Amino acid sequence: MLKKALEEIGKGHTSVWEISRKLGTSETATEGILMVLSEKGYLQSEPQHTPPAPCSGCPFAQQCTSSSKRFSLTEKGKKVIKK
Amino acid sequence: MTGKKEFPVFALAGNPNTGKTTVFNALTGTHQKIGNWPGATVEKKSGRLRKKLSGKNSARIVDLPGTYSLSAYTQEELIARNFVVEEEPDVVVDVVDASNLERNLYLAVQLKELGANLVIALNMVDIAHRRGYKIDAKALSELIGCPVVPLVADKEEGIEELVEVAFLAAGGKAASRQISVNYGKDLEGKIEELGERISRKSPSAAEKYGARWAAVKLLEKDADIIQKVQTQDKGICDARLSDFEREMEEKTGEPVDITIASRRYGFINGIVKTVIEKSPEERIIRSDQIDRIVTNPLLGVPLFLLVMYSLFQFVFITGEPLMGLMEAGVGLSGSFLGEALSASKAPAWFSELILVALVDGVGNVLIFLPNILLLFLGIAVLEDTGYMARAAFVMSRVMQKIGLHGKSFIPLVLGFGCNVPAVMAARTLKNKDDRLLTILVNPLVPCAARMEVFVFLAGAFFAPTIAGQVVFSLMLLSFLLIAAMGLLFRRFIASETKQPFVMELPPYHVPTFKGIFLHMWQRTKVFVQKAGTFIFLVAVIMWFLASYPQGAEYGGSESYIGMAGHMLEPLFQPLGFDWKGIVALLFGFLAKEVVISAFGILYSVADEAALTDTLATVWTPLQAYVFMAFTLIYVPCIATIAVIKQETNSWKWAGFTIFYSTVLAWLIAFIVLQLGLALGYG
Repeated sequence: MLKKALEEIGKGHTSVWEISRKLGTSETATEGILMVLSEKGYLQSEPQHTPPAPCSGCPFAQQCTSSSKRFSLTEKGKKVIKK
Repeated sequence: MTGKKEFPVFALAGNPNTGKTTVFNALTGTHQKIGNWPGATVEKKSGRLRKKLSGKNSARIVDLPGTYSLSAYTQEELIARNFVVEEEPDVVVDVVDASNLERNLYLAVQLKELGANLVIALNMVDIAHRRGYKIDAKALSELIGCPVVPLVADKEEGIEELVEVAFLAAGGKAASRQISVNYGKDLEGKIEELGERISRKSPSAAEKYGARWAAVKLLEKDADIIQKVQTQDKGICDARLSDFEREMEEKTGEPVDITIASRRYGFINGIVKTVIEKSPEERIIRSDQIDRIVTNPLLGVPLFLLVMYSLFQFVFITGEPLMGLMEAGVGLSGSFLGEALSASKAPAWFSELILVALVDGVGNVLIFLPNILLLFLGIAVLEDTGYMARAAFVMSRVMQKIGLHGKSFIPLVLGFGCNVPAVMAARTLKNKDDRLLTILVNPLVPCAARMEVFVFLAGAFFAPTIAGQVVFSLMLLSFLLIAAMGLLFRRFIASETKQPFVMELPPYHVPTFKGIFLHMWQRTKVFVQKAGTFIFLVAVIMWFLASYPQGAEYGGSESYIGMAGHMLEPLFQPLGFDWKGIVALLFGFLAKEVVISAFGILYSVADEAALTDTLATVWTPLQAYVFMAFTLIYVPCIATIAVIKQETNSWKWAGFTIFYSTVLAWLIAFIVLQLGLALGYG
C-alpha cells in the first residue's frame, strides 16, 4: 500500500485527494500513510497556499489544509519506485 | 522511577490536531507547568489533575508532543517514545480523533506494541457522527485490547469517565490484553530470531523495550534502537541481516520498513472495517466496492467456494498436457538410467534398487510437478492480490459458528500447504482451548502432499473435466468434517470462551510477476527437495521390505511388506482395500507423497500410464474415491504428529489425533462406499 502511494506520487499525483482515489483508501488513511512515508524520508511535504482544483468550489477548502498539502518524492523515495 | 512516584502519572499522547490540548486543559484546569523537554526545544506541559475530577485520588498529567507514530525520525516522536519507556507512566491516554480513526490508530497500535498501559480517549465523536460514522467503541476496545472512552473534549463530555477508567487502568483493573500485528511469515521468522538474540545479548534493551518490539525496530532501521542494541551487541546488524533485507526487497519489491508499515495499516484496516459503520452517503471507494461483494456475509462464502472450484479446474485442465510431457521425460530418463546401469555391469540388486527408488519412487512423484506448480501459482495469485485475506475474513465468521476461533482460519488455510507449519501457526491464538481445537482439526485440511495423491488418483480414474470436481468434493468433505469435529470438540473438550481478534485486510493490488514467481518457487522447491531426499530414502526402505526376505517374490505376499499388509487386511476388508492399498497407506504415515511412490513400487511400474492401467484393473472409480476419502482423513504424517506433541506439550493429544482421525477415516470411507454402492456406482 505504501509503495503504491509512492508510485502514484511518482506519476504526478501529488495531493491527498488524488492519491486517495488512486489507492482506493479514505483520505484520512492516505494522510496517515503520507505522514509515515514523510517521516521515513521517502517523501517531503510542500506547503500549498491555494487549494487544488477539485477543492476550489468547497467552502472549507482553505481550512482543509491537510488535503491541500502536496508531497514529492525524495531521492530515497525515487529509488523505491525504480525497483 | 515508578517506586518513588507520589501520584500515578497519566501521559497524554496523540496525533497533532486531535484535541489533545483540550483534553489536557480539561484535566488540569489552571494547574499547569510549562517548560521544555530536556535537551530539546519542544514544549513540555504537565499538571495536576483537577480536584473536582480526582476526588480522593490525584494524578500528574504529562502532555506528550503530538506525533503520528513512534519512530525515531522526529524529535517529538523520540521524546514521546522515550517518556513511555524511561518514565514508565502508569497510563498512556492516547487521544484519538474519531473522525480520522484510520490515521490515528497507527500511533495507538504502536503504543500497544511497545507495551504501554493504554487507554484510548475517542475524541470528537460528535464530528464523526455528523460525518455519518457510527463507531462501536466496545468492539474497538476488544480488538485493540485496551479501554476506549468516547469523548467530546471541548464540551467536557466524557472527561469524568476518562479519569475513572484511567485510575482503573493504573490499578490494573481495566480490561487489557496484548495484541501483535502479524508481519507475515518471512518477517515474523526474522523478528523471532532477532528477538531471541536481543534477549540473549542485549538484555537491558530487551527488558526496556521488549525483545519483539526492538527486533521490529531494527528491521525498520530505527537509528536510536540500533545504537542502543549495538552498545551490547555490536554485530547485530551484520551481513546476514543485510542479506535478509535484500532478499525481502527482491521478493516484495519494497524496503522492509515499508512492508512493516503496510502490515500495520492492514491490521488497522481490519479493525476499522469491523468497528465503523458508515452511512449510505459515505463515498464508496474502490476497494470498499470490491469488499462489499467479496466480504458480504451472504455472497462471501459461495464466492470463496467458486474461487477454489475454479482453481482446481484450472490446475487439472491446464496441467494435463504438461503432465504428459513430464511423464515422457521421466520415462526417457528411466530408460537411459536402465541402459547406463546395464552397460556399467552393476550388480542386479543395485540396478533394481536405483530404478525402483529413483524412477518408481521419486519419478512418479515428479510427474505431478506441473500440477503442483499450477496449484501453487493459483494460491500465490490469490495471496498477492489480497483476496486470501478477504477469504480469511469471510471464513472467520464461519469458523466462529462451528466452535472455532475466527483466527483459526489462518492455520487452516496454511494446512493446504503443509500441516506442520499450520499446526505451529495455531500459536497466534492466545487462548489455550482455541489453540488446542485448531490443532486437533488441522490435520483434516488436505495438505499439498495429500493433494498430490488426489491429483494422481483423480487423474487416473476420472476424466480431466470431472477430476477437478472430484477433488473439490473432497475439499467440501474436509470442510464438513472440520465443522462437525469443531462443534464436537468445543462441546466436549474446550470451554466456550471467545476472544476478539483483528483480521488484517491489506488493500487489493495487482501482483508482480516476480513476487508470484518467488512464492511459487519457494513452495515448489520444498516439494522437489522432499522428492529428492525423503521420498528417495523411503523408497529405498520400501524396496528392501518389498524384496526381502531372501527368495520372496518382489512386492509379493511373502515379502515383509506383503506380510504387514496381509496382517491388517481383515480390518480394511469392509472398505474394499487390498493389502497393497493398506501398505501404501501405512507408508503414507511417513509422508503422504509416499502413497503414490508406494503404488509404483508395489505394482512395479515406472510410468503413470502403466500404473493407471494396472490400478484400473484392481479398483473401480468408487474404490479409488473411497481410498481418497480415507487418505484425506486418516492419521496425518509423522512430522505433523511430532509437531502436535510439541505444540500441545502432551503425547495425549498427539495420540488422540492418531486415534480419532483413523477411526473417523474408517467410518467416513465405509459410509462413502455404502452410499456409492447404493447409488449404483459399484
